[in-house]
Amino acid sequence: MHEGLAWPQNGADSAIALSDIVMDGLVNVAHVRAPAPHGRIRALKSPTLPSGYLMITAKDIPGAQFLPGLDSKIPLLASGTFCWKGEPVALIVGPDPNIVAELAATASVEWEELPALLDGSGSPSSSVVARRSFSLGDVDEACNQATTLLEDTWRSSTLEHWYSEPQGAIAWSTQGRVIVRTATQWPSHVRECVAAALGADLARIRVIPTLLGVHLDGKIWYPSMLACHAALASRAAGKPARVLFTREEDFLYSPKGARVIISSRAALDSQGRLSAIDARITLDIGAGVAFARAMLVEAGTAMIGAWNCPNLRIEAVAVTTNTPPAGAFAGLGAAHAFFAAGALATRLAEAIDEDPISWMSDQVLSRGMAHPSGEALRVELPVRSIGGRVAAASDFRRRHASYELLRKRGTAAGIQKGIGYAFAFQSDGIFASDDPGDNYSMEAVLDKDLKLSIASTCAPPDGGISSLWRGEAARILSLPLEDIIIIPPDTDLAPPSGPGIRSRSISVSGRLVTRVCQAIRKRRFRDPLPIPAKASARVERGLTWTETGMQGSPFMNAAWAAAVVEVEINSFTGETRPTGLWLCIDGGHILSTEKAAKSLRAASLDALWASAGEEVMFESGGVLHSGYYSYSHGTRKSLVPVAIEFIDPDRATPPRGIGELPFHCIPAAFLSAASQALGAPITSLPLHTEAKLRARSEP
Amino acid sequence: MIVNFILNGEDVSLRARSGDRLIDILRDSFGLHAAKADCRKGTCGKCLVVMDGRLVPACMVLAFKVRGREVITIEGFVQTDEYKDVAEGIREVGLETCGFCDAGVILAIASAIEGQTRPDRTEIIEALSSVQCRCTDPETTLRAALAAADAKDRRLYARDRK
Amino acid sequence: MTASEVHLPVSIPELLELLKRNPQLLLFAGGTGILREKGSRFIDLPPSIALLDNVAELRTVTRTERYVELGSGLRLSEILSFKQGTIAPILREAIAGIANPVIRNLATLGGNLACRERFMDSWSALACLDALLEIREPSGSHWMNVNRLIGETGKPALPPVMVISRIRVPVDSWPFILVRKLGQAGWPGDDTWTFAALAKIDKGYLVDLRLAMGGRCGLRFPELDSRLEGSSLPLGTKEVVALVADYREAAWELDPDAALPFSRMADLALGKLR
Ligand SMILES: Cc1cc2nc3c(=O)[nH]c(=O)nc-3n(C[C@H](O)[C@H](O)[C@H](O)COP(=O)(O)OP(=O)(O)OC[C@H]3O[C@@H](n4cnc5c(N)ncnc54)[C@H](O)[C@@H]3O)c2cc1C
Ligand code: FES
Ligand code: FES
Repeated sequence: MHEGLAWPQNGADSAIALSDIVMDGLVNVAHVRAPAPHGRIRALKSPTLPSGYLMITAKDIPGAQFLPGLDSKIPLLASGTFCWKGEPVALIVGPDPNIVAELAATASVEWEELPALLDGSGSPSSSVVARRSFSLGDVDEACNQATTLLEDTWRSSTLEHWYSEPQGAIAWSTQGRVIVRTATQWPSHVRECVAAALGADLARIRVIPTLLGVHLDGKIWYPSMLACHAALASRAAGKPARVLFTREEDFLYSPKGARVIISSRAALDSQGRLSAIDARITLDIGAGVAFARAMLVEAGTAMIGAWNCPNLRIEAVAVTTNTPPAGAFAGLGAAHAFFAAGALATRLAEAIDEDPISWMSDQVLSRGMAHPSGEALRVELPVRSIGGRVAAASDFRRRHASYELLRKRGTAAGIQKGIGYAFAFQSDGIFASDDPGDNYSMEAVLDKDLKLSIASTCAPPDGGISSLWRGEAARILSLPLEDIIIIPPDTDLAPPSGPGIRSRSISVSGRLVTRVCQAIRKRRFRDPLPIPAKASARVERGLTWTETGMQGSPFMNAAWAAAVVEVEINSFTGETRPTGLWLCIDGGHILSTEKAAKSLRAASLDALWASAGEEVMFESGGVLHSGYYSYSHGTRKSLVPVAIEFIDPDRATPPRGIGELPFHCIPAAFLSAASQALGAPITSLPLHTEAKLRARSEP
Repeated sequence: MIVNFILNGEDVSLRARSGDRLIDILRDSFGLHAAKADCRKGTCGKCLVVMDGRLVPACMVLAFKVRGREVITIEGFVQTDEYKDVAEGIREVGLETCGFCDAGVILAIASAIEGQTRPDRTEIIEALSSVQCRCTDPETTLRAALAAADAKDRRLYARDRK
Repeated sequence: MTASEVHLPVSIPELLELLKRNPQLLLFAGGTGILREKGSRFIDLPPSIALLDNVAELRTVTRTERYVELGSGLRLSEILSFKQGTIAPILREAIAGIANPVIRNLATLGGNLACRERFMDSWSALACLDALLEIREPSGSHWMNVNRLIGETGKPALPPVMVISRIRVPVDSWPFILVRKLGQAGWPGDDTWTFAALAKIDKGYLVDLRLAMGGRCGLRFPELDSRLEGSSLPLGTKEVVALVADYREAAWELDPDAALPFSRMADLALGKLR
């Protein structure tokens, strides 16, 4: 992100948008797509291609047919069979972007139908690609003995990332090397994939990322795929080639946030204590994505939460279906379960007439107690303190009680109010075992002119974070800010690194900045300039949950947040208006509270809008085309006051990732608020107008 | 078809097809890249330009509708005093953007504060509703617009005193 | 990617002449309705287009004591910028709810009323006002009540080859107005509706009530509207409940999906009057 207004002009800087790159002789690439959710390709008929246009199919790929380094097997171009409606089957390459699009639409795929699974809810065993289960105590017995038992099915629909720029890539050859430009969270992976697809040496590939902006984890692996398409097209055409989705195409065919269904049972004993959680989590990853196992483990860990609950049974499965790839959304899976876990906790508290915040704080593990994995907690979890602060800031208890009263009385104007609370954590150290890309490196050089340059391919995704890196380096080396240069995350200029996910550009890379700068400081007055320094780190393992068991603690280096959301729902029109949002964050040392608050506010509104109505609809296995036009990702008209408080932000701890916290706790708080307003339990996100209208009794 | 119009103060002429969108013409034929072609459905506001004095989404304007009109893009707008007011407002509150929606945000703020009277919060929110942005905190954008209105007042006051 | 021939008529007779020669001619006003659901890079258009921008008669405003006549080519933002009192507040409110300010800088009132697939947002307000449309066809011209745009199936029924030239909107004052959009924000879809209500009250009596709702069909039930006319305020609960049930029934007949939103909104409007 660059500050202020100097939008990038053409050039090779990493702040340029992909669509702004102009090159002589550039050819464009369009996709011929699978016509149905599942089928066997009998023949692929090329349209009549004008001179200068060509078609590429899987058999034209000189190297690997599948993307390397991922835990799903994802073909670059479908051959033999296709697995989702819209899957790329061939590429049409040529100079005019409109003509390639038209040719791709007229290419025809002759195919034979295969049975398609469009809905993962039944999760037949053949579709399960990953599974994690865990049990503790005797859940069935605890449920039999329960004085309160709640059973529910929670759903969250497919989510659209709507990142700053639609997906795409440009590739060209020069001096025996292939240069790729794309907006990616993982430059090293793009390089690896392009090398594999072309059957080329890694050293022959250079990736220079373009403007990333906010991505909500929608640009982890798919840019690698499109980079391969661009590289294949460039190789075939002998010219620079560009794949650039229109936003409509992106909406219809790029990976989405996965759908999830959680069937849950939760029990309270006669003293109102949480005695059992029994949950089955089904994560529908469509035709397959990166990090499916990591997502499953994060979702399962979120469902287990921080509760002091003696009986647990968690079964989490990732299923593939014949729908578009669906995976990470603002985190790797935790948000996919926290929405249900948090709302369920409120339901339990309300079932026994307890104040949700106090009740939840009472049910949380304390220092010395063991997490279900067996690991004892070495510190007190901050749930009570963040809950208390956010309750006070929002006046939660008084509002909660009075909205309850008002709802029972019924208001003439039909405006129903509700308020909800939830807490959650964000942890970087949750592992499914052999998760790819957990190695991060950084290089720095203090030059002769006393300028420090820092290079890493785990790029700061925005100007906010790069200025935090610079601030930290300036502090350690006592250098003026303007003498610190963050090198673009170009694979020729920076060492390879894992993906920019889970706020790792703060948590892991932030620590690497400290380490390289401290290393330079030590040698600064001893060694001649320039002084180089290198550091690398694997992500510290907190909890590891493999097929055979679970070890460690998810709370290591975790950041915590508590949220209160207040909504107003017009029971006549179904119009939903969030009227207040309060967040309290315990994220260890916050490098800049001002910048953190700004980005948390933006993320909070995204989390709120995603809960309150943004929806991607499906039709016969594909994203519903007309849904693109009705989809809206919130406007400033729905500007909501957001109050954010940080607990002890200046304390001397390493920085932690906090960016996903709004997505972890706001949806649950929203569900609880909406349920109170409507006087009926709401268990699905996003909240539909239909649900709102039906939840109220008929006039 | 030949399309003649005034672009950022200059007479221009080009050959276009009736189904070409103004946003693509500006970007592809004139290399004006600040406005982006994003949603192409009139909702994101990343393609905003001023046409005959009115702020419009350039993705919803087809080639034949531009004939004989005057178009100002953000590249032209930066030459004006009004731009300086907006830039000052943005700098003052420290609005940081990824750059993708800058053209839309700047022109939407400019349109919010262009009237004779100072806009209130609701009017600004309404003007900014033409731009959808994932990255920024809308409250900061709103404050930038209010600060821009202050900057404009200061500039006009200084001018009137001269 | 076929090329289209673009005509630039400057008068209604010229436009009608073009239409007579080519009934397939696409009238292009703001273009925001025509470009809907076209998110691709390039837009394929019909072979012949008439751009309405230069037809001066479509951009006039005439005011009499009883009504204001708006040229159909006036842009929505222009109508909103008229000084207070020029147009009925209910129409202003309905127009202010359309799209966003930059779309309203292109979109015209005529284009909003000429949509053939569904009733757009200005319709319900104009239906309550009993506004008239001037329809110009190659064979002649006539005025038509906007309520008559509801065809037999409830869908818009416009003459096939015509120009809407003016919209005559009564200016009498209504002390009670209500406009609500229902359903998902953004581009109007299958489940979005715009409801409008007007009521006149005189000396504690309800003297006129009009409810309308537009979406994938148009709903307006004058016989039901008149049922409580003459009733004293506050309205009796029993009467209101019975009327709401009848509105619901009538809406159900036309489109079952419209029944719940229409009856809820009728309930809201009558509740406010109560
Ligand atoms: C992002 C977006 C959001 C929108 N939101 C809304 C909304 O909230 N509510 C709403 O009501 N609409 C909405 N619209 C639809 C559209 O903007 C409006 O209906 C607008 O008023 C159409 O006017 P126009 O001048 O652009 O029509 P055009 O697109 O030019 O024409 C629409 C149709 O009317 C015909 N036509 C135009 N003028 C005449 C005339 N004088 N005589 C006969 N036929 C004519 C055209 O041939 C065409 O069939 C939205 C559109 C967009 C792009
Ligand atoms: S690209 Fe024009 S409004 Fe989005
Ligand atoms: S889209 Fe990135 S700043 Fe608006």
